[in-house]
Amino acid sequence: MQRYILVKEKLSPRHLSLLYREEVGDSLLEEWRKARESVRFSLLRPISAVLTVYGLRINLPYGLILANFSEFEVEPEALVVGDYTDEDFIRYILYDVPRLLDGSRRPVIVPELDERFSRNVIEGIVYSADILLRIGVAYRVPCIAVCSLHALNNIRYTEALLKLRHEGKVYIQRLSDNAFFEVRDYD
Amino acid sequence: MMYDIRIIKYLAKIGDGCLITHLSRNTKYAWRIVNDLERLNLVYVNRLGRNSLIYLTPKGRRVVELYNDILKLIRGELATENNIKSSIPAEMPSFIKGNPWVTVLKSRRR
Repeated sequence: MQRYILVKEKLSPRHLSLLYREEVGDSLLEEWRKARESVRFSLLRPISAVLTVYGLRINLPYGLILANFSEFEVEPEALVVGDYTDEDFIRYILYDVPRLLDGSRRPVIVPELDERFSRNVIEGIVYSADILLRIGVAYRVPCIAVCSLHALNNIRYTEALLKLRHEGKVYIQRLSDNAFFEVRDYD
Repeated sequence: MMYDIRIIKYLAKIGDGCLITHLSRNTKYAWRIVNDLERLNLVYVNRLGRNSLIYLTPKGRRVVELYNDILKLIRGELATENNIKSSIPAEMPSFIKGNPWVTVLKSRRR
């Protein structure tokens, strides 16, 4: 059971520990230090997800996973981030998603990561991907972000799945071990 | 029943959790160790099919933490409040520093 610290906002120790010092601010610095110390050894059991794309089942580790296709299903049932943009999106993934994960840990899906920002698009993608990576590591859940191939160059990722077309065939490429899977796209 | 330094040795070996065969290839001996540690409320066993996974209880984790502090004291690098190690760095990495979206957080009261 998580112990909540009563501050301006209710943040659990694990939630507080995934923030950077600059994000915490001076008022919460002491609680933040205690939270980082307390969760150092309280490791959660990793939750792995099974992603099904065109009948192909891929096991996903915890952390950030990028995909350039959205025609997939994830087991167990994932938390899907709604249509938030700009500041609302950053606030939602940094404050609300960890709060929801405190209640029940499950995979997180972020559809259309590269269409969330109306200004400073590259910086926004880099920052939000880093937040998702931290959430994935702290809560040990897979965070699946759907984005275009161009956005991949800017993101530090742990795993990426790409849908490729070559000579009329469709392949899913897993970048971590450069594995190719031929799939049938019925559409 | 073992009440000596071997307890710490095996707890450090278990760490974040391990298979029982990781403790010793002699399964009889490995089970004797695990039963002893279980009786001391330092570990718990999770059976997954034919495999048995050993995890530390909060008490066991505290013992490993103290053991790590002893090692650090010997090496002269005991963690201070400002030197906390975590899987997530304390300071913002260089590729995010100066990012205009970070300032969003200053107005986080909704």
